Amino acid sequence: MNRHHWISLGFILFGVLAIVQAMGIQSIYTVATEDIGPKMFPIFAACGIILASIGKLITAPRGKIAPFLNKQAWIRIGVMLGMFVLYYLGLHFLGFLISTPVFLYAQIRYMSLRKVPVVKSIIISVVLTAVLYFLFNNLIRCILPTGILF
Amino acid sequence: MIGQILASLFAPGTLGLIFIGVVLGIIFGAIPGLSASTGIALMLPLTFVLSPTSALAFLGGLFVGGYSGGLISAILIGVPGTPASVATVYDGYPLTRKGQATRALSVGIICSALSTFLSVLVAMLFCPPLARIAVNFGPWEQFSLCFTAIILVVTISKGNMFNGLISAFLGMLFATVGSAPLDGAMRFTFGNYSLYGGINVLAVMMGIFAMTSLVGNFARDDMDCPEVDTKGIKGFGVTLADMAKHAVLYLKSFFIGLWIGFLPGMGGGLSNIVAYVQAKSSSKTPEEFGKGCIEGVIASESANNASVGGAIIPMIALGIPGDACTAMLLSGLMIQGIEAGPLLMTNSKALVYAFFLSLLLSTVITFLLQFFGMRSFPYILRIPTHYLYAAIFAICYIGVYSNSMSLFTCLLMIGFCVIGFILAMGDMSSAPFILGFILGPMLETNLRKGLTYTTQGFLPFITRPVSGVLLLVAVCSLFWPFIRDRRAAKKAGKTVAEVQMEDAKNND
Repeated sequence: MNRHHWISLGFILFGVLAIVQAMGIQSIYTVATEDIGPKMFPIFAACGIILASIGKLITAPRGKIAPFLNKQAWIRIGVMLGMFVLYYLGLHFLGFLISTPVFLYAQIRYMSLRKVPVVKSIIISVVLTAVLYFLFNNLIRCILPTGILF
Repeated sequence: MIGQILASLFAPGTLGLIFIGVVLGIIFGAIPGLSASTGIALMLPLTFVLSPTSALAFLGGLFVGGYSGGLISAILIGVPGTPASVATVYDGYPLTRKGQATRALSVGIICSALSTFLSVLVAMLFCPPLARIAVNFGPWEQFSLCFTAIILVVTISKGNMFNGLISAFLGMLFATVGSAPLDGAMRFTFGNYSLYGGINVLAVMMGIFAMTSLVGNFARDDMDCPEVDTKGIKGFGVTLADMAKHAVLYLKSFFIGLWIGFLPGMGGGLSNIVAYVQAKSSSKTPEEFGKGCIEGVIASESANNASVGGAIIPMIALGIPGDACTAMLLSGLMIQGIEAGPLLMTNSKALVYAFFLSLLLSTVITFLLQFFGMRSFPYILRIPTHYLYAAIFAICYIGVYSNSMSLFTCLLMIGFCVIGFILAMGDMSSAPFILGFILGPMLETNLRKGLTYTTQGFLPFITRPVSGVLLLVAVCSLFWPFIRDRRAAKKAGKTVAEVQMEDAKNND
């Protein structure tokens, strides 16, 4: 079993769960007697996923295959996704003006592997936040998140 | 109408937007890891406040600039900026190493501009009659058309066909979230009112396309460009006679690109390689290819940009996006509240022609910027990517938020970024997913309309001539790879599995 087989099994399970969930969809009214109703198309798509995943499971190369990414790359992805979730929480609780410079600073420092000096990173983070604020708040006239704590 | 189109297009604001779009497109196309699609996805939120004409003109500038910008890094550093410039590397980079960077760049820029311009003119010519035919299509034909487009994208895509199918069906399944067409039944919302209107298209685009590729680049340490040798960039390096000598090769490559661009699922990513192989096989000096042969650059750059006009034809006339780029352009239309499809040419004729003209204008601006700004190319490639990527991530969040005014959409975007990685792990392309997501609602609506319009059930989908032929094409293309492998295996005296393994190796 390699990653292709695990992914195929994962998608088969996902398809089954989608079908179970779709079975519970209730139509508000029936448009016409010939109509397939709102649950058929999701079931069709889920069946497609299951059948294609079975096809992948059968035809995928067997034995050991080259890893998708090395350990360091997985750590980087994990850290980046962690930062994304924290930025989401920051926007939710602290708002755009506080969380964005912090997020940008963390991103610049992490992605440059701490090669960019701290002061330069802070200045660029603040300037980028100001530019984004001006662009979205003043030009697009979108009220940016203010945070539920403020 | 012409006066109205010209007035809206040549308004200083719109012209400025086209210029900015082209500049951004060139930057996104030139920097390896970014692409025209990423650029369009990122800039979609900025179009909310624009008029439909200005929004489409801006996105058109990004589209043309992005397609043309790929040649810069392909020629100067040997790394294709976009998949459409892969074949440009084969001879463009060796030319740079020989000190002929200017010649390679000039020829590439001229061929790109000429091909984009001519292909857009062809699109202007073919869209109206095609739309006139398509406007007579009922839900049966429209369903079959969408279905065939998805199947073609899946079967033509590289590698295992099942990968494409999983990706496309997954896109279709996610498109069913929210209110169902025709009867408004709620599906997969789990009581969350943020999902009642469906999954935000920008959250999908940004998550699965922009964020996945950028995080992937960083994880693989694939962010920084090698140093550019600027010594070879001087003068224009090309004469009219030099270009005229290769007119036949240019025309052949142009038509290859135009045709491949027209077919769903193909586009510049494939056309440049097909044209390159064709140029090599028909050349008197095939041994020179790969060592710095200008014909290789001509073939690749003529074909990939000819795909621009080719891809526009089904998008405008039929409402069918052929690739991720045109899918995002269609999203731009949807954001403006304009329904894509055959009626677009009738209901929004002025807008469509303004879009065509903006593409022509973008081509001219791209040409002038690239031809006279050649010396600034190395600076584009020196933009520190850690600043750029950080800014792009923040734009993704704020762009998605400004579209929905809900932070939940940002959470969805992170979720789609994770899905993007799962797809990448299984060697599955995100293009069929996006196509399935965009075309899924059209597919379902037309299927249900088709079933309710008659009492014959599914029969009209097969018995109506156009619909039947389209479905036949879909079925044949679905089974063709298996038949082909079986025939090849029989011929070579091997098993089907062995042939498939060899095929996969060749594709890699």
